[in-house]
Amino acid sequence: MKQKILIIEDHEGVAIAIEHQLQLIGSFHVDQSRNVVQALKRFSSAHKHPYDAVLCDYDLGESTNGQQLLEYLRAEKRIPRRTGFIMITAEASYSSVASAVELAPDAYLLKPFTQAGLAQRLEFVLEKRKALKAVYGALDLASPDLAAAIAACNALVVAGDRFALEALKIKADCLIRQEQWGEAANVYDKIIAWRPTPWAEVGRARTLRLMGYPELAEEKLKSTLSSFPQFVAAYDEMASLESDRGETVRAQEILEQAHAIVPSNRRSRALGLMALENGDHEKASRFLKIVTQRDRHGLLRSTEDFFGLANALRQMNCHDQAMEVLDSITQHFPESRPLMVRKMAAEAITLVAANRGFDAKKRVRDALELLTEQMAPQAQLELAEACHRCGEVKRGNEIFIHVAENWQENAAVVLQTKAVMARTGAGAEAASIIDESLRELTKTNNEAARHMKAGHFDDAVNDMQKVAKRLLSHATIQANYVQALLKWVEHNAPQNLMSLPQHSRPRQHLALAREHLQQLAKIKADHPRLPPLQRLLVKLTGETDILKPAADDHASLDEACTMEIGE
Amino acid sequence: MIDLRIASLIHNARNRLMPVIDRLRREGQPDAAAEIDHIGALLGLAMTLFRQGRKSIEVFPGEVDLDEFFKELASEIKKLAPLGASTELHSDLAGMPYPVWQMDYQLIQLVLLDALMNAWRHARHKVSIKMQLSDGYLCFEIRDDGDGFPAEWLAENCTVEKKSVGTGVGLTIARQVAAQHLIQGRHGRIELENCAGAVFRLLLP
Repeated sequence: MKQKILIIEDHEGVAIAIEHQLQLIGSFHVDQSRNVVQALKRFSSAHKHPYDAVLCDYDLGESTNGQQLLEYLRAEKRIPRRTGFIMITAEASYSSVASAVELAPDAYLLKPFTQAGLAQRLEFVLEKRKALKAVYGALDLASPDLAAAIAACNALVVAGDRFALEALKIKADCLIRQEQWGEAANVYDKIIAWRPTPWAEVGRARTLRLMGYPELAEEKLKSTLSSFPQFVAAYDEMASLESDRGETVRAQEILEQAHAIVPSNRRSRALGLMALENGDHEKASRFLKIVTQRDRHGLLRSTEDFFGLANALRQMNCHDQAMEVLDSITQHFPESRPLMVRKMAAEAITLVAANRGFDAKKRVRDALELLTEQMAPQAQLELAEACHRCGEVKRGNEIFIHVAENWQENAAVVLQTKAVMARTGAGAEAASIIDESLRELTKTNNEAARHMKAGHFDDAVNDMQKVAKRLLSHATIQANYVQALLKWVEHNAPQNLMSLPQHSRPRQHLALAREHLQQLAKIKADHPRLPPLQRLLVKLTGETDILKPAADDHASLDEACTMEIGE
Repeated sequence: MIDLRIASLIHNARNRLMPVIDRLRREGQPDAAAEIDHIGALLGLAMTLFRQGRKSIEVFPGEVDLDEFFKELASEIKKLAPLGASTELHSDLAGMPYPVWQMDYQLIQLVLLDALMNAWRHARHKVSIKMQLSDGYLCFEIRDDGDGFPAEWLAENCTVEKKSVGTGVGLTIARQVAAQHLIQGRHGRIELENCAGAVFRLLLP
């Protein structure tokens, strides 16, 4: 099978010349794309047989340049790791970009290049791809096999392969993803002992931060930046460090320095959102404007950018501009219920600020009609805030409490709920209102857990029933309700369980257990109690059409997880 | 703004050269193609010097695969060396666990090609270039068998601009480029020596 190459080049003459050179170099299957949209279509249709290499012009004559496209393709996994990427540029100064970015291409070529030059780069990229085939293969899986990737990296290092350094870099990255920070630190130390290498130094600092040594991490990053002042990943790591310490203003300053070196989309967004968090609305609007206006293809934008920008503009009393930004959202993103709820809620908050209370209330009413209990927390919180601002305090608080209870196990959501609630009329009491409702919930759940232990399954079912129907997004509550129902059936049901009428209590409990088990699978497909609960249901009903547990899972219900919620 | 316009002009000019080079090659005129190719390279160089000339030289050391770098240098030498000039290339990276170095690919290539052009101009018969490790530095050594550098060039802080020929980068810029490669307090440097001809060394930390 011929190796596949895609040329992304807006000048037809140049693309034809490159294709001609490729045909003289070897026997390749070559496709051409004139722009980003065409290229993305090519990548989608080449999903089963991805390209071996991409030759992409840096200056595509559009608002998205080659580097931004590469970052998008890698971040969104639109091309697998094993597809090599060669950037073509007419400017020698591209080296300043390539040396600073975190996602550099595998190689780059300066225009005009000779056939020999192209052949040499292509050979390098294809050779690298071949050497790292097993590593990329493990990482390109839907669920990356990190252990296999590490083993393949070790093999390259032992063999003293030409790409051993790249293998060590990937290995350390995999170890961090496995939370084996000490092992990752050893890899970085080995490289640094050979010679100072910026990515290894930043990696070492990251391991220090993750292991709980922020001062040592900071020291390491400062020394890295003195040797490699252009290496932006060091600034990003320093910003994470400051952010972890709660020093978000300092983190913002550091991100601004990094942004001045490489103003990537990811960084503009992080900076804009951090400025918003810091109450620096002027900078928040400046950086988020960059993101929302940068590429006309909308590849790199998210709804978060638009809501953030509208929020910053509202805080600056630029209400009309904020409304324009919110209005434009549906031009860029497909309409969905959560998006529309969030949009209408944000519009309502803006309208209240602009003294247009009547219009604001209408928006809130419309949004409430679209609201569903399991909607993403972000949309619900925005609406709860809008309710408050429009005087619908009771309804707003109900939503706040609903979100906090449903996402009780997600600390970030609970924290955000308290923060948004605090901005509204609830003020400083917000945290105590939320905490009180969560305490009640925990009490009910743990009471049920005690009934289960005592074998009082009737009481356990009754307790859990009160909360499970309301908290459909709470994984532990759903699992506990299913467990209570199944244990009740196991304890009370006769041998001929399945021949009982549908309306009998055991059969109704089984139906409910099945329904809530499906809900648990929907909200958390990898929940540890899902497989043992499925097995128990199969055992009781003899039906096997329920989701199959993972092959290597044999955990019993008792081993899998406690029913109790920490108080 | 001017910077952007000039960059855009050069970008367009270089884009237009690509199909011309391709056509000339297909029509069996490799010499003409090589000449136009060279003009393209000079345009790129002009852009770099324009940018760099605005203030002091800025280097952007990136991770460079040395085998690739040396291979490309060999291709450039093939393109640029005068007819009849003999150039020996030698790479000795023994003792390096990974053939990788932090350096500014384009500027280092520029400095070396400039020094090579000097060497070709003054050599009697041959020129050689060697890449090796030397006391923890990556060393590129260019030798010719000519009369050697003028005595005043050998002074430590020599900045004789007008004597530099080649691509016109000049010794001053070469020294700046080298010096801006800095790792843990160790700077890069240029060494000149006369030893059966001129010896130019670029050492990178």
